[in-house]
Formats: sequence, C-alpha cells, structure tokens
Amino acid sequence: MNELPVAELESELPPHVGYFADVWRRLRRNKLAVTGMVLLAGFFIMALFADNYLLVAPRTLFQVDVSKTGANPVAFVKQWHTLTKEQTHPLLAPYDPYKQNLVLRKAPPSREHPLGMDEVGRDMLSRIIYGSRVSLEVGFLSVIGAILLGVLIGATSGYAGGWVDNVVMRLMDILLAFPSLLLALAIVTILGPGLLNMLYAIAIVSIPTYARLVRASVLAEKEADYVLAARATGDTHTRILFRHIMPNALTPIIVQGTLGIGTAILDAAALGFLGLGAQPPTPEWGTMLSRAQQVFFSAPHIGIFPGLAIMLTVLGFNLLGDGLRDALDPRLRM
Amino acid sequence: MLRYIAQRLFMLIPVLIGISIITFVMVRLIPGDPARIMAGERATEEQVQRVRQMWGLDKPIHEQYIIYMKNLLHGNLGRSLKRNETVVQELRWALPTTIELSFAAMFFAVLIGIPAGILAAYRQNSWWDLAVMVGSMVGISMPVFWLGLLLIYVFALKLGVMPPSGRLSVGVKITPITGMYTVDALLTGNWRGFLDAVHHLIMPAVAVGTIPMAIIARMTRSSLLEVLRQDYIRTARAKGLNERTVIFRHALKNAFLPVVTIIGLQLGTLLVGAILTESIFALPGMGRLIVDRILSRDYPVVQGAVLVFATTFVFINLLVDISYAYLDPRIRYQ
Repeated sequence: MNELPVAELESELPPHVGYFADVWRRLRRNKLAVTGMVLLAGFFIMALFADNYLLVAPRTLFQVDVSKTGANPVAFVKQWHTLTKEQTHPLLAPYDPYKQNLVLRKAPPSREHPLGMDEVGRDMLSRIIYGSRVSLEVGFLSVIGAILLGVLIGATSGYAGGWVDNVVMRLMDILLAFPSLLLALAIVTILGPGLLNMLYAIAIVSIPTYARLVRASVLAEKEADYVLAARATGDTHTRILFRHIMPNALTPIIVQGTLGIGTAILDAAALGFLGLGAQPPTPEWGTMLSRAQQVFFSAPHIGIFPGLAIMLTVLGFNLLGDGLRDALDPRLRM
Repeated sequence: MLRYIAQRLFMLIPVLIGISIITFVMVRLIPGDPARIMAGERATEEQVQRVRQMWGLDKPIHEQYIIYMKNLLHGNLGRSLKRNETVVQELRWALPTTIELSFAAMFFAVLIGIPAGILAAYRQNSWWDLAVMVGSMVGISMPVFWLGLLLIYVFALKLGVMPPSGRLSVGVKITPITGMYTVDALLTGNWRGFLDAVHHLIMPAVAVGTIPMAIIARMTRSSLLEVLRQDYIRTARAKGLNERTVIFRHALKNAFLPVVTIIGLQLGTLLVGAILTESIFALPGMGRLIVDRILSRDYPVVQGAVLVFATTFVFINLLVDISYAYLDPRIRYQ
C-alpha cells in the first residue's frame, strides 16, 4: 500500500484563514456591501461628532465634585453629564440645531446654510447631523433590546420543548398577527407618544422575529451528538444552551439584526412622521418631515433632506445586511 | 383541500382570541379610569356612568372580557367620541378605502416587479441587472411617506398631471355600494367616475406599492436564476431551443412559487404603507382613522379599528395560505 503524500496535498490547499478574516475578505469584495459600509461610516461619524461631547467627556470626568455626589454612581454620572453638556459646542454641525433665526425662516440652501433653513429658521444641515444621533440610537438600542429578549425567549422555548414551547410560540404568533407598525401604534397608544416609548414599541414589535430565528437554530442543534456529549460530561442546561448551541444561531441573528436596524430606523421615522414618536423640537428626521408637510410645497428643501437622510441610512444597513448574509453563508464559504 | 381549509380555520381561533385580548387590554392599560377614557375627556358624569355600565367596568376583569366579547359578537364596538356615530359605522367606509388602496398598490407592484426581475435574470450581470438590483435596494429603503410627498410635489404641483389628494374630483359622483369607488363605479356603469377614481388612486398606489415592488423584483430574479441552473433547463437549451422559449415556457412556471409566497408576505407591508400614505393623500381609510383618533384620544374608535385591521390581516393571510395549498399540492399533505 502506498503512503499518502500528505505533505504534497497540504501544500496544494489554500493557506488557513480565520473565520472573521474570511468574512471580512468576502465582504470587502462585494461592491454593494462596501457602498453600504461607506454610507454607514459617514452617518456614524456624523452621530459621534455632531458636537464635541465625546472629546469633552474624558476631561470633565476629573472635574466632578466627588464631595457632593458621594458614593452614589447615578449622581456621579448625572453631574458628569451636566458638566460635559455645559462645555460642548457643535463640532461637525455648523450651528446649534435648536437656535432659531426667524428672519431666515424657510430660506433655501445658500453658502452659509448649505441645506437651507427650516420652517422656524433653524439650520437644516445641523439638524440633519444631530438627527443621525437620534436615529442610530433608536435603531441600535431597540434592536439590541429585541435581540436580548428574543434570544432568551426563543432559546428557552426551543430547548425546553413540550408545552412551554407551544404556549410561547402561540404568543409570538399572536404578536406576528399584527402588522408591525400597527402593533407599535397600539403600544404607543398605551404608553403615550414620545422618543422613549417609541423605542420600547419598536423593540417589542421585533421580538417575535428573533425569538423564532433562535428557536429554529436551537431545534436544529439540540439533538446533535456534541450536545449529548456535553450532557454526558455533566454540563448544566444553561451552559449547554449558551456555550454550545447558541453560537450556531449567531449568523442569522447578525444578518437579521443588521437589516433590523434599518427597519427600526424606518419605523421610528414613520412614528415621528405621524406625530407619535420623538416630539419637536428634537431633531429627529421623521418628526422633521412631519413638520415639513405644511410647508413642503413652498419650501421643498425642508422635506427633501430629512427623507434623503432616512433613505441613505436605511440603504446602508440593507446593503451591509445583504452583504453579510452572503459573506456568512457557510455554503458559499471556501 | 376542504380538510386543509377546516384545519387552518381551526388554528385561527387562538390567534383571533389573542387579538381580542390585546385590544381589550390596550384600553385598560392606558393610565386613568377606563370608563372615563372610553367616554371621552369632556363626557358628563352620567355619560361616564353609562359607559361603565355598558362595558361592565365596575366588575372583575374576566367578567369585563366576557361582556366585551358578547358586545363584539353582536357587532357592537361602542360609540365614536368625535362623531355622532357608532364605531362600526365609522369603520364601514374606512375599511374598503384601505382595501382598495392595497389592491391597487399590489397590482402596481406585480406589474412592474415581475418583469423587472425577469429582465434582470435574463441579462444577469448586465447594466439592466445592476439597475434593477440597485433600484430595488433603494426602493426597499425608501420611507413611504417621503415618497408620497415627492410624488405630490412633482406630479401634482410641478407637472399638474395628477390630482394631489382625495378620491374623486369635485363634481364627480359615485353611488357607494361596497365603498371601493372603482368597483362601485363599474357596478353602476359609471365610466367617468371609474376613470376619475383610478386617476386619484395612481399616486397613492405607487407610493404604497414601491417596497413590495422592489421585493418582488429581487425575489423573481433570484428564483429564476436558481431554476435556470437546473438540469432540465440545460436539456432544453441542448435541444436547441432559443433562450426566450427556455425562460418563458420552461423556467418561469417553476420560478413563480417563491414569488407568489413573497407576494403574500407583502400584505403586511401594504397595510402599513396604507397607514402612512392615507394621511398624505387625504384618503379616509383605516390608517388615517387610527392615527387621527390616537392623536385626538378617541379610544373606542382606535380599539375597534386596531381589532378590525388585525383581523382583516389575519384573514387575508389565511386566503393566501389556502391559495398556495391550491397551487402546490405538496403543502396540503404535510
């Protein structure tokens, strides 16, 4: 019997590439995904550096008067925030997004105000830049909240099986029986309009999607041999579920989460537009559009730019999410 | 087939009960005295008392639910606070408006989406393909309400070829039968009314239909590409058939099932789109009703409208499921 020329075979194999390096490599080759990342990078920079809050914060950390706050961490953070707020000024945004100049109401784009002025004379560009902060915050926080709860519900339900699974999944079915925005409207009706309530509503509405996704992954894995092996070595249920099974659910969650942030931003803008989300004068894109409705035809720039900002952000998340789906798909991995 | 339908109807019962519980609980979770909330802020003490009696609001919660269900099954959803009408009377004309808009939007989405998807697959990796893919990505990311405003600005204000809002021009009369004006006009043989109603329906339908159109185009493309890779297509090509025959005679039939599925799944998007566009185009449908009444705290109407909206959604989904079972016999025997 001939000996297999192992060394020769190995030299013909492509060099070993780590999981994330491989995903990144394939993401980079996808032009649409790169476009999405560039768009998102732009909006992230706008959100982080609309003002110099992040740059001031490290300095003010040492200015907090500890003798007043004592050992109370909440008071400490509060005072830190107030101190930082006092020393911030717009950085990327050319003007204060709340400051009105009544003379320039509805002024069209000009050299001083590249996107023009809104219906009460505030700089549109500054408001759009600050608005990216609100939208990205709502998008990320609501999706993270929904994923945490969805994972908990879906994993427990799928792993436990039996009547627990039945009851929980029927509940999720009922939530899914409502078109998402309708359910969000119902929740906002109960809680009342406002930025925070809108955030809760959007998070609750998207829980069933993640719960189902995670449950499906858990069901697919829980009979696998490695789970049996883990059980045989005496691992607890919690450990088996979260250390061994859950990593398999990661890929669909990452993809769905990325697309979900886009949807959440769109929903937030919709609620803002209907007057049920962020309230004026908060510079939120949907709320800005809602205000623009009355003056849209005499000063279209007030309506065009916030809508464009929403569209480009959501487009960024959709392009990236699609790219991630392809890059993470094990069938396409070499 | 009948057995399948019966089975699906049976499975609907818990979902419908769930919807009724959510709408029941919704009003009771609003902070304050439920009787006062349902009677309105300006109601007299007697009116509040009457509402309390009618819904049994002084009784324990489970009895309240039974009373609520009894009223519901008798078609009693309470009285509107804003108008001297019952909630059912208000919904009677709002529902057909929304259904008509949704159908028109779906018609537009299918009319454009499917040919675009076929074109993209037929000329894979061409400029056409890129245009359809990028266009559909932008379409998915578009805030519906913003698109509506842009359409009004361009086609109604600048070009003047479309009516900006409403369902009919001044002076055009249609005898309402179903409440769907296009259908009513056809039923009464009123051609002028029909054309006018269609003319008013075009822009809202385009606004609402854009997202489903984009999704249908993407699905058609990927499904057709998948089918085109199969062996029987290679056989057809090897026989010397031209590409057109291969696609239209052989590939399309098998590529359509996932497309039909996705069309069904878009119904939620359509109803949500209706919520967002009805206000812009001044259409007196369910969406506008819900949003208006949340803002003016007319909770009986909000409750009734959410209930009817969700129930309609569930039943339309059922019809979609049944039609799949009809199209694809494999589903019936699972």
